[in-house]
Amino acid sequence: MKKIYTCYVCGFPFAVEEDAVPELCPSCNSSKDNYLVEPWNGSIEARRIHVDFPKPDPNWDPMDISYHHPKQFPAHTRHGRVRRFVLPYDVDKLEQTRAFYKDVMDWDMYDTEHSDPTHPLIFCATGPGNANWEPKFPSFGYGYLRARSDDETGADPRFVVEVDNIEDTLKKVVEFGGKVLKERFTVEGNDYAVIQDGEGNSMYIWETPSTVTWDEPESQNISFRN
Amino acid sequence: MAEEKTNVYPYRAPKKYPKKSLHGRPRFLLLSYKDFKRFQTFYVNVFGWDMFELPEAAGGAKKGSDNPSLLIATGPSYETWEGLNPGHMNCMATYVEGDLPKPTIMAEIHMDRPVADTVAEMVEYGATLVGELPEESDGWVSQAFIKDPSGNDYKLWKCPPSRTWEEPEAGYDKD
Repeated sequence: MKKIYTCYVCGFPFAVEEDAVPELCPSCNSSKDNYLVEPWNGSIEARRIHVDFPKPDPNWDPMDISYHHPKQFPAHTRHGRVRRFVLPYDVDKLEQTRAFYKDVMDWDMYDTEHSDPTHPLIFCATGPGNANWEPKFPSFGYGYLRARSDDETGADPRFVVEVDNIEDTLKKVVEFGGKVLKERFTVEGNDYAVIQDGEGNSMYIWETPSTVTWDEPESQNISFRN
Repeated sequence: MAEEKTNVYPYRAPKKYPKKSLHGRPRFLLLSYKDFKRFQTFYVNVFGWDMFELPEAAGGAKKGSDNPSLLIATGPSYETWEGLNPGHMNCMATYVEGDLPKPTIMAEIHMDRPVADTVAEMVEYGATLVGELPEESDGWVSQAFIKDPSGNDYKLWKCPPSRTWEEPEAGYDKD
């Protein structure tokens, strides 16, 4: 018989047949002793058991990967956030690649103002957004389609991490086993550098623009649900 | 509600997404590592990321593995380890042997149609299926791997029906 199970540790609700109940919570890995059970009544939205959500623990050891609430992120900084993906395209496949993302993935996109129309840097809205072309809802990203030939580093960086200060970050990159592939440079009025971690993953770092007011939805640091 | 004025090129807001659907949204960045401690030390210290062992039921390694799969908060997130403020993507990271694959994205696809139908439409537009289509059940993981028309590998993920639509990430343009 189908029932609704709500994990007491993380609050995650799910509905399964009794004989298919997972041994560990699919959301937090806690044992099934922690499930609170109620009858299936037509939809998860109509469940009656709700548990209080956990909160961030300021004393949590950042190297401990057992289940915990994600940390409270500090205010007035976006340092470390993965802000954009970057997908390279082949110039001879530009229109086909553009059509794929526009028509099948339902993205909205534009060629950035100063890029060469024969191999444009294309900015992509991948879901609901605000007027400043930032996502309106959490937990998904906007990003770029970039001509494969426009990567001067040869390392094919695939994502953008925002940082407070490029030079301070480059020092830390080296200190913790990474490499600097390209020092500070400017594209469309924004400053970037290219780095690689110790594993070989390459990425852009993007310095928070001076125009940020900290009032933008994407600049907030709300780190738990009430 | 009136649109905000913007001076951001192209002088208009992005299009509306009125459907109750998260189709097409890149939901997580996918990273690979070869040395867990080295990976963790780098990202905790350089970017302040917070990491948690991804459950096996959500596509992770066995609980307690020396090479755990990780769910990573790169910015403000809530108890399910999904982002809570808009504008950033969280990550998943997994151990690999051999060559390190390029970082890529996991994009969400239609919940209301079979993965095979979505992939078939992608193939019509020049994408290529990599490997097999999933056998779909009521399970937690229903995914497929494709290459886009320029040959980029990425992962497609169909959310299980456990989505309540109360989740912060499940918003769409209702107005």
